[in-house]
Amino acid sequence: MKKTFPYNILIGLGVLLFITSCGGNDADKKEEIKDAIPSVDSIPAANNNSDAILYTLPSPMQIASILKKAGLNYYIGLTNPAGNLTTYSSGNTVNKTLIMGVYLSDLSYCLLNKKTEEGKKYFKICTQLSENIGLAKAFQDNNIPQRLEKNMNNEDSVSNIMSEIQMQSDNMLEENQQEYISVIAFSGAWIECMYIGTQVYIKEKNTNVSTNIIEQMGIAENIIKALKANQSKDADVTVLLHDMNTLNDLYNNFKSIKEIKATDPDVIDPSKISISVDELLGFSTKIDEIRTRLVKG
Amino acid sequence: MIKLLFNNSIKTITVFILLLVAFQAHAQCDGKTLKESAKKQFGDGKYTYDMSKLTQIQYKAKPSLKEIEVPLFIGEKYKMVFNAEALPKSIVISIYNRDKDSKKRKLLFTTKDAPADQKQFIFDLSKTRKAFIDYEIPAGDSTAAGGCLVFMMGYK
Repeated sequence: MKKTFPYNILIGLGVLLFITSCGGNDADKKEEIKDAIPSVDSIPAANNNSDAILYTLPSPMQIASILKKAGLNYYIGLTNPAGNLTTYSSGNTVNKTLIMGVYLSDLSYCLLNKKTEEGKKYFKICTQLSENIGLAKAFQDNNIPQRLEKNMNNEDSVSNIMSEIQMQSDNMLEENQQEYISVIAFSGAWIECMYIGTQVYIKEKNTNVSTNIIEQMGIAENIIKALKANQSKDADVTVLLHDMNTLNDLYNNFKSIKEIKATDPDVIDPSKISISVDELLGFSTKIDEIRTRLVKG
Repeated sequence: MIKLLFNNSIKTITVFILLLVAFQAHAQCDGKTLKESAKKQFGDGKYTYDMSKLTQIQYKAKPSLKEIEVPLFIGEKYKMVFNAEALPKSIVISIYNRDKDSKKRKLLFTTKDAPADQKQFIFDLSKTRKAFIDYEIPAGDSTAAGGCLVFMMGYK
């Protein structure tokens, strides 16, 4: 019997590879379409329908690091208790991802303050939660658990390891076209950071901390834009979007923010912002309320 | 017999061309490799990785624009790295302090006059709250496979 070369299979393989290699362009088209969806809230998803606008957010570690540099001290009892973890097993993806963000901030807060035992506990929790959203590899590859445990008292090493986790997570989410997951996780991390920051401010009245908190508040607008750009991918972000809008409205109604925005709405220089203690406490109360609801599961 | 050999040769060539194009396109948009290469520009531990974005570039019949909004913090020093190794046709990367609709926007950096063979671009930035990165994509063959571009940012 004459053996024939499996041309059909090879041609099929070639065509399949060709199609999948161009798959990214489909994602791109989706991105332009989603940006063109008219927005009902105050912040538009895109300024111009013909061109795509993409949004980026900083890493949770950078936020924590900035607050630490400003003098954010460690207080027992501010982080979300590890024991709450069991409460989150039945939540939807958005809630689980938000909680992952919350614990990531708690992990950063502990590590940057050299609280090694708490750090170990929160790293374990983050690793467990990462499995729910397919990011376990980012927390386990390249001997990350062992390296982190060995270097927990070295701030530079901790930052490097955390940034390695961040980069690996970004790569994995991008490969799977799930970038919206990182937006949701960042939202949870930001809420927790703002919660810890405002609680520490209430205890110490450190103006360096409050100045940085005020600067971080401006990020709410970027979170909203990024959430809106991804809203179609998960309807469960609606509550989160509402919460973020509430916080952003509070910020925009601060007297000095209103005054600055009246002259130049595009560029806000944090050094020109002067927020009263009452305004900051009002923001703190709202953050506390949102964060409490979030960690209750 | 000759006809059979000819047919088989055509099939073999077609298969290899298809596989070659497919593998090249895959290699071109290997986000992980492009990012690893970009990250080297941070130096050994001098800058900490903050975020990255892999953007698919599809050339269209008319020039087009993509804008990336990047929030920054006043006290931080940033390094922005662009890796354009996977772009078949150069695009212009420009960084502004305001978005494309603002009349007051100031150009902070551009690759407009960069040598055609330069594939990586680095820009240091500080003391600003936002950056708007514009990718000016020239017109091109809209039926051909595009490419991709990596933007990565580190802070210290």
